[in-house]
Amino acid sequence: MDGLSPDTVLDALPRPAQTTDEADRLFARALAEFGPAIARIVGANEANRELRADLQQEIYLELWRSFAIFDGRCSLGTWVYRVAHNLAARHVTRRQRLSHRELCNLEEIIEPIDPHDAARQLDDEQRLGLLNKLIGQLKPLDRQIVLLYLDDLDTAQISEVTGLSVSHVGVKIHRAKRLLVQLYEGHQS
Amino acid sequence: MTERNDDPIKALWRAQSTEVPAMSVSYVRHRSGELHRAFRIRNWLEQGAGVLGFAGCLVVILMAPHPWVKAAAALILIGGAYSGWQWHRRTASFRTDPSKSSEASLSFYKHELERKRDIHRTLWRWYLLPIAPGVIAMLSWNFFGDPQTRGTSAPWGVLGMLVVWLVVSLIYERSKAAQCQREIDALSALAEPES
Repeated sequence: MDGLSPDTVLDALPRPAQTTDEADRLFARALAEFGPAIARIVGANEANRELRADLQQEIYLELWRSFAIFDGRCSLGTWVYRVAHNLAARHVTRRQRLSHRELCNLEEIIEPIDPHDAARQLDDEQRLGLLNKLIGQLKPLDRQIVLLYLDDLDTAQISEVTGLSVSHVGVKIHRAKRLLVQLYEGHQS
Repeated sequence: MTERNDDPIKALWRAQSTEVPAMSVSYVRHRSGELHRAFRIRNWLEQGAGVLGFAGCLVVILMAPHPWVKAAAALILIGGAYSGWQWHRRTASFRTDPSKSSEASLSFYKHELERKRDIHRTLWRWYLLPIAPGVIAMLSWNFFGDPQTRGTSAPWGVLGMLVVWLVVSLIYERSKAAQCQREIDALSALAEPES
């Protein structure tokens, strides 16, 4: 399953993981339900294949350790997204420190499609390439919002994962939506 | 602007092929143990490099002809040990606390930025200051010591370079700390309760 369906959020929440067995069971469930979502988070945050594998392992290990203190106050999905996004953010911050590359907010980002190139039809692979390029330019928090939005979480769920107010998530999503539509349809507004 | 549909791009995003490695719980347990071993090895390597630096100071302490130089090298050695320990402690990048990792992203990211800001803001105090007495003692020898055994014939040049380096470093660290603070302020504004 991808994203957090309203049913998942309102589902009977798992009890605090007090035993190792229970933590193992939660970990297996998290992997089965959110494995592809974690892989997409990793892919969007690291282009290098080897570093991507390292980051994915880091997230799995951290997730497994985190279930020792999972108290069920939020849904399993929210927990998994938080751990995965936070480790990805730490990874991006660390890499940015090494590469001295400046990242920007959604408000500052350059339009993904060159207006002179608007008439050109893009295929799906090119669109995904542009989308990854766009995401790669964003600061960690804005990057998370776009990724969660692409994973079909709604504003309230994104607010729960990120800790941002609903209204601010709404503003960010409005901007992200404009960029995404433009990316898919080109400059034909 | 009319509301346009972005479902196709979401669908495209979710349909992309992803590599999801099969990972059993027992394998994760095993890797967790390996990771701790990797940290231990990295620490040993860092400590080994530190030992080499200290060895250099020890050679000066043992071989230098004048007690003043010996004392200066000893001060650099002690200050360097303290700075190295502080650096290691404050910049340890992968000592993840599960409770931190499960914080909402905003508080987690702010926490990381605050950590980074504090490193930039206080670096002079815990990294530069401890080695200052040793460096000053070594420089003093080059100014006032026996002309036959001085390390350099151009102490003013060395002092000038040190001062320039120090000033540039401090300005750089302050600007980086201010940059972090601006981002923290912007994030704090984002999280303010809605009116």
